[in-house]
Amino acid sequence: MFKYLIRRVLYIIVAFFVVSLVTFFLMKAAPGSFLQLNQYVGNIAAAATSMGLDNVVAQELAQEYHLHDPWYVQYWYYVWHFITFHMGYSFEFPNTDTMTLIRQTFPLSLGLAVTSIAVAMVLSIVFGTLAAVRENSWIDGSTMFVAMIGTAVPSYVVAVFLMLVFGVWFHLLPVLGYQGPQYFILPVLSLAIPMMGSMSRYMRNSLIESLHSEYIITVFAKGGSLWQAAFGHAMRNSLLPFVTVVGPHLAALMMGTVFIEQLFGLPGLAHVFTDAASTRDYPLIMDSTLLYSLVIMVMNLIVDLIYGVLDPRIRRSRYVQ
Amino acid sequence: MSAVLRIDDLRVQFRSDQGLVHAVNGLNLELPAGGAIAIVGESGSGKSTAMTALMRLLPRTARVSGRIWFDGQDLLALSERQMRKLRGHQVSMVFQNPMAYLNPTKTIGQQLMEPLLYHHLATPRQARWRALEFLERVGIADAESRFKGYPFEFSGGMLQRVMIAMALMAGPKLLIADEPTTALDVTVQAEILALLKELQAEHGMGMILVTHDLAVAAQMADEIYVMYAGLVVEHLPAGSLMSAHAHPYLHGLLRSIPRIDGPREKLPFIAGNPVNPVGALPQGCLFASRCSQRRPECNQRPPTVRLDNNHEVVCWLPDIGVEGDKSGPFDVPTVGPAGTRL
Repeated sequence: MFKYLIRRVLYIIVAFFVVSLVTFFLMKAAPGSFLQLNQYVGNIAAAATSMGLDNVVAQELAQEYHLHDPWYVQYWYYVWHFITFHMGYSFEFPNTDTMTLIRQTFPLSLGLAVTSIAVAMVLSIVFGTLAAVRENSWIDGSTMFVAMIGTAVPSYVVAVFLMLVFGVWFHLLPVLGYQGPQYFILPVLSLAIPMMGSMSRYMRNSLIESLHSEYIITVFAKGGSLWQAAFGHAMRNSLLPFVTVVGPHLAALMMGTVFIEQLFGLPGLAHVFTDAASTRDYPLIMDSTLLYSLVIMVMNLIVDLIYGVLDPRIRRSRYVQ
Repeated sequence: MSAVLRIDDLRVQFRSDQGLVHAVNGLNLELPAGGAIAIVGESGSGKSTAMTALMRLLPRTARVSGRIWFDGQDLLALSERQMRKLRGHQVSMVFQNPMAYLNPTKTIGQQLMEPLLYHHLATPRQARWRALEFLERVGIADAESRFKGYPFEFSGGMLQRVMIAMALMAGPKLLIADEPTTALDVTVQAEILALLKELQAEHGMGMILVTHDLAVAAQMADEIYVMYAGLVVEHLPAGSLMSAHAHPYLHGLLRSIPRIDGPREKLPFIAGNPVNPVGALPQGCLFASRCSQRRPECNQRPPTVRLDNNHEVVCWLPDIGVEGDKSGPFDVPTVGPAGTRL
């Protein structure tokens, strides 16, 4: 297990460099150069152009960003600064370095993502189990019907619907901004409900499959009840395939937070990221891309570690090799 | 001796898309307290289905009728709750393939303790202690550390020992062993059978051994029930298996056992196919289509003929023996040599 962990961390490091290279070249390949400041909407650009100083500023910027060096030297500066947390300054907000911007906004985004995935997992385990234990009953039918609707409807539609019901009609929950935990409820639900759709169906099917295994007959033969068989035995085995489908959801979840943060006006990283993309705020785009990919990779690693916790055959694999 | 178990006219049918499947068609048997019986039959003869019906573990599509008297009560009339109190406590079962019948993600120890914990017979501490004791009793060395092991860390024979220990944890009055050695190596097989027999005597419990191996049945049981197409065709004491068997089917089975000392010839076998259990069953004797001794009477259901103490046969020509029958010497016709159909 320990070896496995080391190997996975090495993979992450390699993948991280690949992602950084790809972002680097995509940015280079994008049309236009940020030295042509008059094309820019950023604050520095606007100020410099209005004062007729664009050439001077451009030279300074070229100096500062090592633009006269070959690409691999530029790439090296970029990676080195990311690793040492000297990420440079945003074009949009020249007085704050990107690290500060990220530090201000990232916790909210991460919190939103983690809470949604946790809520989705817990609820789909509950509903999936209910449906599986009462297979083919009305509970099963209605739960799975709702789950199918959840799968079919994207999160931003769910969000608008929730805003309408809880914010506009019943005035129960706030729908804009962030001033406390209650501002989190609707965004979390909007992200969790579409995920719950497919996840609870998966949980149900995988639990039903486990409940039809031979070792469940043994549990009954020992005098165990259906619930003892489901929770004491089948559950752990059916969580394995369930956890597998959580992984791919993580990437989609990151996309989802972008929409949802915009819709609910949450001051998260997604907001910063999309703004940076539309204003060609290079430092901010590159850093937040790297951060996003890092988060997805780490979350996937956590999912894989949960595997080991659930299945002793993986955990003790050093015995078997 | 009073019987610990008596099965009267047990019938099991399954609904299926092709029609009604007749799995068990009127099984009668009796197990004396502390005794051992074996149920022998080919695949699909209904032996495992009958035992699963006894445990009331059949799927909901099964239709079960008849009576199963155990300890003064009819198991088929009990509520699910009452039945659950008996399972693993009064009646236990050992299954064919221990690797599949043990949960891969729980330790052996956790699974061993469960019969006691489910029935609130012991505290976890006591259960652990008793589990360790039983692991040692069934011959697992270093029980303390094996207790924390997972099924994939054990061999098949070891797992079957664990299964046996698990079945005996709560001190059952009846143990059902459903082909307990079929999935194991021959050498391990003998050890497991010896262990089962030892433990049966030690605990004074009744045992039903389900097997397709006549030799194992003769070695392990006091009485043998031979099943064919969901029916018992012959019931006889284990000691009479070779000398006094009467049904043509059993005769065919015994003839088809290869001899280790004889010349290498093609093995005799019983020609034809087993009765198709789907849809209506044939009118007369169910074995008639494969039987060389077939007579006109065989178009009617054969009677149960009592030949001796504990020896009954369901056949129109009950005194067929190895030597011959009423109509003359037995010309070894039941099974044709080398596949000749008679």
